Amino acid sequence: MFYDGKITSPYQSLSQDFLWKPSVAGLSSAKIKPISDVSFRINEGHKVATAGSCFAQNVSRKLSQNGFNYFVTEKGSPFRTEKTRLEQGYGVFSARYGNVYTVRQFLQLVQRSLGLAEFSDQIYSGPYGLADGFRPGISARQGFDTAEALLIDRRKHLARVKFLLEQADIFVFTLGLTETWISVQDGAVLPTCPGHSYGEYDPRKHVFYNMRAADVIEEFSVAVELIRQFNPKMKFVLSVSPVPLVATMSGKHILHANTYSKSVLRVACEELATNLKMVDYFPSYEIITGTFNTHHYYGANRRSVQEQGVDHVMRVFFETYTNKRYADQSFGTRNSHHVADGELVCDEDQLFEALAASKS
Amino acid sequence: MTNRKTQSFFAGLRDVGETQRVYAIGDSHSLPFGGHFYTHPKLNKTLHVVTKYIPGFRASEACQNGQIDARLLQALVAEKILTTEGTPAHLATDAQTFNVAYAAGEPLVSPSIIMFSGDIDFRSLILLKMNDEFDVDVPGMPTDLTKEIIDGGDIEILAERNFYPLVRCIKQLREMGLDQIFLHCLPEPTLSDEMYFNVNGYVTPWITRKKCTDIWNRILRRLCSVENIPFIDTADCVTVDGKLSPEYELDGCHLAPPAYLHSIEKFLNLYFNATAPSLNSSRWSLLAGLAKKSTKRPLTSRDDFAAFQLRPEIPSELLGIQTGDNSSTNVCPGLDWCGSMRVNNVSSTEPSIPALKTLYDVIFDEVNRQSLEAYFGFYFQVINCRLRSKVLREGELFSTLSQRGLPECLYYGILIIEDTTNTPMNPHSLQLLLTFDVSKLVHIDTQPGTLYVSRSNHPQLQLRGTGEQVVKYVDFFFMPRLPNTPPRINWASENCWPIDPFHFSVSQMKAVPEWVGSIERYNPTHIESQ
Repeated sequence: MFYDGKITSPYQSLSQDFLWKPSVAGLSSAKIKPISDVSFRINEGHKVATAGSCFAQNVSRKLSQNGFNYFVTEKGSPFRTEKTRLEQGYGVFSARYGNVYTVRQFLQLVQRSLGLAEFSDQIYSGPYGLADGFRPGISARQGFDTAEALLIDRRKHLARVKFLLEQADIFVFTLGLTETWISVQDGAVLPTCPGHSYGEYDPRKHVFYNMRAADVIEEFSVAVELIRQFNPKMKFVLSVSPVPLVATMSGKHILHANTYSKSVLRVACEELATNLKMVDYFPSYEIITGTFNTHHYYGANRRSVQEQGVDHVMRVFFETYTNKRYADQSFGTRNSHHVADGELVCDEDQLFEALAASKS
Repeated sequence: MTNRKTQSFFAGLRDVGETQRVYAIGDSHSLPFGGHFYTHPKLNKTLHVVTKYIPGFRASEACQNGQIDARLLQALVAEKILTTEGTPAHLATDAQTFNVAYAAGEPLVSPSIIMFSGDIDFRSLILLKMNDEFDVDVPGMPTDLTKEIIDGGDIEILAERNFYPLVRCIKQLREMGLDQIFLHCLPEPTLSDEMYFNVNGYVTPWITRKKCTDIWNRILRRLCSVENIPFIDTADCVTVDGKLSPEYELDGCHLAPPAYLHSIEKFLNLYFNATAPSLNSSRWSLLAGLAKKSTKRPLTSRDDFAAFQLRPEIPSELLGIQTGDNSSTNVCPGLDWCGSMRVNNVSSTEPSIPALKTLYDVIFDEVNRQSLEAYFGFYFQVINCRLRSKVLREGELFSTLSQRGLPECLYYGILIIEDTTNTPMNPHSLQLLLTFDVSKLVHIDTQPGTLYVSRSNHPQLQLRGTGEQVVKYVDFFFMPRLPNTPPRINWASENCWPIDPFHFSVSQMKAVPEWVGSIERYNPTHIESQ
């Protein structure tokens, strides 16, 4: 056949979003919006819950600041100051579960709140009293005086998690890690390894496990199914935390391990968004790590996400999911080197500091 | 010239008698009292409740930086409880103020004030924040698990913090001389969430309101107990199974007037059984004038009044001692008490039955009784007495055992029989000195050689003059009683000097005086019925 110059390629009719040059290379960094369509919209009446890693705390804050119904079922005593409540872990996420780094941790949280699984107490000593092994971050500045008090608080907490799962309309979950620590006794997942900010590490009691993509997909699917048994309307927005690992127990170089972890999570999110109804993937990872901004959104430690980056993520989120215009916090108001997560409660960062201190 | 039509129209008009004012002061919960009169067959007077409403009166602002809320002070001045100089009117010593007050029926002793405060703080600080989102964990009461549960300790801490200034305010007023202040509990919450919303503009479910109210009232009760502030708690009267009875519902915030009948009942119970106003001995000269009007005996001077001549002479039976030995036991035949003991170098003997009877006749003689009641401002009874045979040395305290645990509100009386001859009792040279003292009083008797009791937390007998004199005296405590209850003297031996005069028994008695009856037990939680 003689080629007559007509282009009949399927790429010909692609939208600009699907082409690199117009949608990445040809735009200023701030205008890049790496998402085309979503499964649902979020309005101001929707109860939006959040959970996840440190980065997810930014989502919590921004939703609240921009007039959305950031749904919190565990706010802490109204008679304590906001500062005290935040220090105690209230309001950081929709319930006082602290950082939920892995999908397995999330699944067990759902199971425990629904009374579908019981694990050993996981009570450890901490610098300020007893620490809850399932939520070590909430005891960062104030522990429990007695085991009984801890267990009572945990029961109350799980009741509030259950209420959250029953009532929320939208659940924004940021997946942070694949590496996790598990109790040998009963498989209970701990968000961080005992030994650096609470308790003592005992290799006979705690084992390391690096989740595979199949694990993430399977276990998150189970969690969604459990929740939708009593809250069928719940919709999910998944994202992958762009904050690199602070340390790895995988035996591989930290960059290697980080790429693996984020890749697994990214792939799993794609599978979940494709296979499950009303589960979307939101590309905050791409926005922060994309080559188009030459890592401009990372702080000097090449790990912390700056406020500008958070603003970009939230701006795209708002434009995509809502009718509201996002009130940018960073431009003209803050130093561009301001680190967005300077006020965040991050167990991983505590590990980093502890490790640095031990080696100095 | 009489208008016959008017006379016939108002025929049957009667005087309900003298009223006694009770002041209800504070937030809007004082208002339902306003203008009400309460009477009871056992009361000889009608209670007239005078309300002084202070809009927005918060417990947390009742006393700040040591300063009592200015609006409260203004209210007290407006009701003439305080003078324009800010001093208690009933303590004024100028004759004009006294005479005007007396003629106007204003209090000669500290007026009774029922204070209402705390509910505004409670609703704005606790219930508003609890809203419909939180519930509080209280053992024994249901918890709404659909709400976030907070620790009851947080509520308790706020209650203490908020009530402390109010308690401080009352203490300061007491120190000024207004020592008959009663504190009313927070009202029971309405069962209707809708009515509550209509008043306050937000919803806090009844169960949460109930639990928080109970916590705050419990804290307030405890603070009052620690500071000896009479606490009017009507919860048991207006609730059934812990819920406000429908007949007391009013507007979702305040209680209906019948509820305040219970408040008055509780007030009277406390008034007669648990409190007594302090006296002001600096008004002696004024009260002497009053006594002159009411007693048939001529009292020509302050000293006369001070040395209240109850009897021209004391029968020897009063003494109970028949030997010159100061440490002897009561050897009155046919009657043996618990014996004597030496305490702080004081030996004492207990009065014999005839002695008590004489005392009774002396103190409760009609004329004396009226004079003393005019002086006290209430009906009284004697709740304890003992006879001492020797004066304490200067600075020497009464037995601290006898003072321990006794509330300051009691009047402590000393009937001193002075023996100037330093010999076995010579009844013809005896004088009687009746003095009254509480820890707040100052009384000085200027008669040479006699004793006086000075102001102190522990009343001290000090010797004035030269030398040491042997005196015989009976000391006893006065307490109020209802007018229709018989006056009585409750007694115990020094061996069993009661730690708490409200609950004492004479367990070691060997004989029971017939005329007093059996062991007296004085119970402050109820008014003894006739």
